[in-house]
Amino acid sequence: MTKSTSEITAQLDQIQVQLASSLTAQERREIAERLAVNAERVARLRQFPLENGDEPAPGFHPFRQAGS
Amino acid sequence: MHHPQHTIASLGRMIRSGTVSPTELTEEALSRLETTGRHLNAVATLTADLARAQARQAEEELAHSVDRGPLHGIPYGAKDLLSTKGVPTAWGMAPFAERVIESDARVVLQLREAGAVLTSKLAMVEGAGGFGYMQPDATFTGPGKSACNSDAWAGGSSSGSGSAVGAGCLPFAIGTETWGSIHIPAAFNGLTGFRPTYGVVSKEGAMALSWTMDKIGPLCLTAEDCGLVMAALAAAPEQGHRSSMRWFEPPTPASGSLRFAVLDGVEETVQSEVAANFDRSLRVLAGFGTLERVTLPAFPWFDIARTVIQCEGAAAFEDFLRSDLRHQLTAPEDRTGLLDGLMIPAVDYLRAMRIRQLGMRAMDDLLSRFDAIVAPATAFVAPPLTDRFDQWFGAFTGPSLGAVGNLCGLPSISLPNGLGERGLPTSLEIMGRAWDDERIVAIGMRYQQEAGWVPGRFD
Repeated sequence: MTKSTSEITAQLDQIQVQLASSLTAQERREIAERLAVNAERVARLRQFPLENGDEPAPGFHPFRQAGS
Repeated sequence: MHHPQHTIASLGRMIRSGTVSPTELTEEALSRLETTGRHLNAVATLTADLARAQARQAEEELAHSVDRGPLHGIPYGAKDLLSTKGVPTAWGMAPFAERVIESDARVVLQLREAGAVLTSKLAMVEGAGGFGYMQPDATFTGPGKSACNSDAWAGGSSSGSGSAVGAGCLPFAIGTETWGSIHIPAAFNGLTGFRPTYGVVSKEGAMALSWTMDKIGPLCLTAEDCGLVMAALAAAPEQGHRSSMRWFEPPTPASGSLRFAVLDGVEETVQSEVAANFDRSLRVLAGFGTLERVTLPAFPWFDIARTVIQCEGAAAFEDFLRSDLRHQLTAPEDRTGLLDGLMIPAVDYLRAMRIRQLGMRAMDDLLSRFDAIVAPATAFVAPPLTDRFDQWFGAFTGPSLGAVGNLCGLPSISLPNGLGERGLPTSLEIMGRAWDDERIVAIGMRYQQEAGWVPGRFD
């Protein structure tokens, strides 16, 4: 799934709002490339089957304890 | 006097026999850091006054039979993302070049308690590489040069930790790894590097890039030395310490017959010399264990790791990203780095973390049948200093232990195993189950014993 140009443009505009400053054309190009890569990555993750009970990983290793 | 390839263990014996003093070792280290270390762009800040005072104290204590253990009087360097009172802590970032954080990182305190002598803050890639650098010139101290060939990259992000030890300026250094930042500089400088289980070493006072993936560990000449340093880092005081581990004894080489999983298919996707040296390493391992080819559980490890780091990095550096300071970063590509991470929805971050949890379970199930899993630590030797990374990291995309090991927070040791292209060192990685840190170091010791490893000799 490829992110549409309009979606990326909207995200670039959101970044500008968050930064409270304008991005140059070069900066917009660089960030747009990364946004597109992120979108592909996230799309692949969305294909992975998960169930309601599947919890996020905690900070510490969940399955083994020190000294086990 | 010249002790560039002496291990911590041997220097400790020399100090106690009176062959050399902590002050002599410290002066030698400072001198080499000032010359060779500077040439390799390995040094962020020399802490000469502090080092001399700590060396004198070590000398006095040892003269009065106060022995703090194997690191007493041994010089070391700390990656410049560990805060040090009264000394700049720049995180490799030009805007922070003069910044002083007025407290010591927990590991710095632990090493002081163990009697080690802090000689230097060592250079690193800006922001530990989190901004997405694509070439070696990505820090205000200049591109890190390999100790093995100054036309080659030292690796990152713990560049100075690798090259300073590799060049014999120091017997050990502290590095950190979110994804490859200990093992890559260890491999590119012909060193032994140890990445502990996530949470084993306190991160208090360390720059955060990814709260759930950052780890701190040693770069040394041998696995035995890694064990000596880990014994000091893991034995943390409880107060204010977020690590849950309070055990780690310097191990002896692993005994008996061991069971090794071998990552299947790795030989086809690495440089030919890396494959040949890996094959030779497998023959060494087969001398004291069984080998079984395995594939990793089918999870999108790379996608999970990138998503987690992008999101956590953007959050950790949110204030920085919103400031104009990002324009002062060294690598042009870093100046817009992580801004895209601000746009990843929380739901997608959590999805990555949910998949990660399932992956951790699957990986633990796989490793429960083995003592360790092995693969080449890197697919290629240190690239030329002038090359962009897409020629290298982009060209070798076969199976590896990097993403899975860092996502699952698993302990892992990288060990020099020969020479490759352009006469540069190659490396073997041995990784185990969570909390098997001591065992992985012990297996590394056994491997180096069986392989007849001599620091600095790669043939």
